[in-house]
Amino acid sequence: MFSKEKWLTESSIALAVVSEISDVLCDKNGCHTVTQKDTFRDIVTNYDITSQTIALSALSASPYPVLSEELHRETDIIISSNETYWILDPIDGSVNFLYGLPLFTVSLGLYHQGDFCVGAVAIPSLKELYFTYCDQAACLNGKSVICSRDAAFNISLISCAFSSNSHSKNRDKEYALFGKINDTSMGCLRLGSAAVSICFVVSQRLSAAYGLGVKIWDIAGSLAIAKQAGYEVKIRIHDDTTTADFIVGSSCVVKHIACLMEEYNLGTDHD
Amino acid sequence: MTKDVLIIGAGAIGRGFLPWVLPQNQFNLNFIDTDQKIISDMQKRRHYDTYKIKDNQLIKLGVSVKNAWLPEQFLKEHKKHKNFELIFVNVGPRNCFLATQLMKGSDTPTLVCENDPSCVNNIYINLKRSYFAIPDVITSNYAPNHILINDNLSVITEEGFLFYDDSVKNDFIIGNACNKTELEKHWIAKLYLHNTPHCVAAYLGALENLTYVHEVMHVDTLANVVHGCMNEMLQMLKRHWNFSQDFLDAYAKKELARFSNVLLYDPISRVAREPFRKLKLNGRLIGASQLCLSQGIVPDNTLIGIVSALLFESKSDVDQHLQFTRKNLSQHHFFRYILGLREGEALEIILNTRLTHLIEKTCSLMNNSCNANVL
Repeated sequence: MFSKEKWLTESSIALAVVSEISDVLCDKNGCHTVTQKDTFRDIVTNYDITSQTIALSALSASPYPVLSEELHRETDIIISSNETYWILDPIDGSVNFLYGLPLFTVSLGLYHQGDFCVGAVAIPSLKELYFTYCDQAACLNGKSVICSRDAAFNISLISCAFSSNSHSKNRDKEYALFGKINDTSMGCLRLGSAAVSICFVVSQRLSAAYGLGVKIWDIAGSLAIAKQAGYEVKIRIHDDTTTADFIVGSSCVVKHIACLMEEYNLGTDHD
Repeated sequence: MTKDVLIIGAGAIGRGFLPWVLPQNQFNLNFIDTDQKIISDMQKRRHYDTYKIKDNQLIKLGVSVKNAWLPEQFLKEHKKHKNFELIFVNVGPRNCFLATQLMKGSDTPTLVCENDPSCVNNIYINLKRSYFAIPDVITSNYAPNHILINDNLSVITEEGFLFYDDSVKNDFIIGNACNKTELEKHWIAKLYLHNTPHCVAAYLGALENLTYVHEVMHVDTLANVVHGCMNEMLQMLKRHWNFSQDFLDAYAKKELARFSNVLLYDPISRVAREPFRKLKLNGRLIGASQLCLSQGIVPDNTLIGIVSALLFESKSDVDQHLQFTRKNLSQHHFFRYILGLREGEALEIILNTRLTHLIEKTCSLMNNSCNANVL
């Protein structure tokens, strides 16, 4: 693991980079240019490119390679649990961003030897900034946040993220799982950003969040923050190493969701 | 017949002040705290002394402890302890929700003695009959060595007042049961005439490496800022709420005398703790400054207090990452995300344009060299 000094250094970098990029997303008076990628919902805007450019410049002095959505298309990085990577998502929730909904983030995480250990996520429209401080704390706008409540499943509000691959062979099971969770809890929301969902767990608005086949850059930063805040985090990275299933939340609710996933033959099978 | 009272939080207020308002011929005192040493000593001895400052002397009160528990101990025996007459909660706003889960579902009237009225709503899910109370007192968790040698649980308090919601009227509590309007007036006065200048004094004292608040009031340059802050608050309260001048003047005079009381041993580390909470948007520093500006008052001294808070550094504080946050965010991002200020609002403009000058001015007040990292 990192030394304390190294941990502090990487936390500093993540915080500084994410806050700098958040300004780009606040200034939406510029023209949107939109390109569609693999599916009609999989879009990239000029803001993604600008944010990524800023981040890469800020991270150029770092010894660790950077994995991000746009770079991955060009380089096909396969992440290894023996290495260390910055994992960047310049905008998670691009569709929300494009349609003027406030639920989008800029997210940066450090993946170090199999663990998401450093993270910073900004939700600029809500003026919220989440980050890890060394190995000691997770913070929201400076104040430490810590998992302190464990609600019963039936009064829990939960959020989910489906894979962007609408042709996934598990799609019907994903929908069935969503329905089951929705009908047996206070409700299951789909917020359009996995990072926002996890951050809302950290800020105790939600009891849990889960995702199936989500992109790893969507969740790297926020998972590190949730772990540091003491939440239960279950994650399974797929063989392609760029998609993953996750469940984050208070331990009772996470356990319940994990059991339901088992019933539907979906999702995480280890921490 | 004596009734059982549960005091959740055996710190300065719980252990030091509340025994003075709960006569022991009427109430048996039971405590819960997370501090193992305090609870262990209470369990062994079932007794400790608390002191009150009156007429420049220390008056002693022996306190009998009926029961004392750590939270996990209390939970094990929970079913035996349903019949409390009253519950007091004084654990700090951050710990309030967790602490009250110990009595979840209880309908015992609960007085929440926290520096934040929103705590009452926050704990409603746990304790349905919760009401706000204001211990208008400075109580220190510390006592001088010659007292602690004889009793490590001793606490020193001044002669304060307990204002509490009259929904919980109890003829045996030595305090002032107030209707909601009166309670709100005392809360506002406490927040701006006590908490604001008190924490300004503490942050200035921290920069000067002093230990107790009364030491700050004996350094002229620092005391002038505290007095100046108090005057700003008086003006603001008069213009905004139109409280009677007699009430305001008497309150301010009482507070300044408290801060200077050498018998109190009020540690700066206690008053200055958790700077993120003290800097919150609607709170005693930022909120107070915004109210001043809304009334046409430029709170120069309170702004020095804000700057002093921003420069506060303590490795043992839960908000030890304040300097980390300051150093890794631009000034603009710090104001937006940490202080919650909107771009273009009055306080944001003032801090943006005058921050360097304010830091220099703050440091010029100090005898010791001031580690002034400009944002």
